[in-house]
Amino acid sequence: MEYMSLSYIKGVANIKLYPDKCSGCGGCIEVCPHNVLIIEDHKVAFLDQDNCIECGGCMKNCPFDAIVVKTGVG
Amino acid sequence: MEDKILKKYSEDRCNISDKYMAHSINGEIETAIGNIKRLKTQLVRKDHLDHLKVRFGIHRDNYHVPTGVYAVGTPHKESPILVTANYKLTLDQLRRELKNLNLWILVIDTKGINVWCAAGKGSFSAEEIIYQVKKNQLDELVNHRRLILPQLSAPGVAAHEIFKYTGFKGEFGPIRASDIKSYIENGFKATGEMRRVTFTLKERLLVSPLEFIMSMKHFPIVLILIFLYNLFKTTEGLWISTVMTAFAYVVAIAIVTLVLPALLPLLPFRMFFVKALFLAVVWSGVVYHFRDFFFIYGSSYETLGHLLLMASIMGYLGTNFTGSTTFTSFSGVQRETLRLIPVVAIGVLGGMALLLLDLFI
Ligand code: SF4
Ligand code: SF4
Repeated sequence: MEYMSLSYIKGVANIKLYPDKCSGCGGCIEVCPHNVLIIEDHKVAFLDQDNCIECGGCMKNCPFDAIVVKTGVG
Repeated sequence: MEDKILKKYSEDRCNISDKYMAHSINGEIETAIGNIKRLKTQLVRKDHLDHLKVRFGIHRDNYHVPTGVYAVGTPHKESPILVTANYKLTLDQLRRELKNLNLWILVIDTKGINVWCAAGKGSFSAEEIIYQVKKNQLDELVNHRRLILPQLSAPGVAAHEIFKYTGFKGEFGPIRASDIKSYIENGFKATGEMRRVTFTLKERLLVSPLEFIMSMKHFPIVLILIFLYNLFKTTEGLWISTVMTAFAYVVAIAIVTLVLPALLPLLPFRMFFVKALFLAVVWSGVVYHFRDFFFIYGSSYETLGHLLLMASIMGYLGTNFTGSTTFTSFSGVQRETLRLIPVVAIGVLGGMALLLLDLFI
């Protein structure tokens, strides 16, 4: 897969998960365009944090504020 | 949220001219809420011409689509509703993939900006969708209560808010319009593949021309500087030497804006400016080898000075290209920019110093 071979700088993505608040609904996974998140034991977890582009789609669509992303301006 | 929706009512300007749309419309259909225009699913020559103009940066702001409901095929009360942005290119890319389908399209006001950028800027938002759903009486138009939203609008749209205020359930459809047909046939289920953003060779080459043209905007300054520099050196062969040296710079810019995107995954290093510097080293070798051809053979100071300046421009444009990609994060670009600044500063100052040195010795 071509998107696999494209990856950017590691260890900078500004995204935090609060699994305690998570209901496991999967809404965040549905909207993520870069396969960053998975559900593990009914809670949100990282599959590959480095793929995150900080778009904030997951945060916006989490009904329980279990994800916080610092999105860039513009 | 309530205030935001109310504000929409006072802000609405339904005066977008549809004269740019006439060639995209194919009659009307009668519905419970009045006549609705039917969109063609075949693009005509004028559309392709518009797209070409957009790619090359001509009149890019002139492609607003009037908001509201449109029909595709012969939709009825059970037909799905797709929501999209009021940017002509976005709507065109969508409708050309909807051949033989019967559905409704709700065009919302994103100020003529595409889905992804509008979501980031906040104009592709839940409140705008709520407003348009009410204004266009979608609850009268259809029996079901489902809106298919483009997945890339997620950063701007909290789908659960739409449900709260309209009773319509917002569901994120696939990223690419070409997957909509299978998504619908699949019972409104997107596969993992449909949910992933790609940046294929074709996609990369499509952004390249605009990138090149944008980068050439400030080129006249470079040209004038080269001219002045050559003027100080000698008046003999002034024109030809200026043109040939400038040519080396144009190729340098073309390499970062056209070759770098094409070879992106193959180039070493993660940071874009380092990828660009890698290409700069290669290009420097070529320029050095053919320095007679480029008229930069005065002294090794002059040659090195030009090579440093070219590399600095290339490094800067490399980082610049992150803005056109689909997989770079803001924090990543920030980190890269912090590294880029000292490198470019040293390159530019060093390059200029060497060129001046050459004049005075
Ligand atoms: S911010 Fe965007 S890319 Fe990052 S995890 Fe959330 S949805 Fe995925
Ligand atoms: S959207 Fe929120 S609650 Fe739902 S799975 Fe993701 S983090 Fe958990």
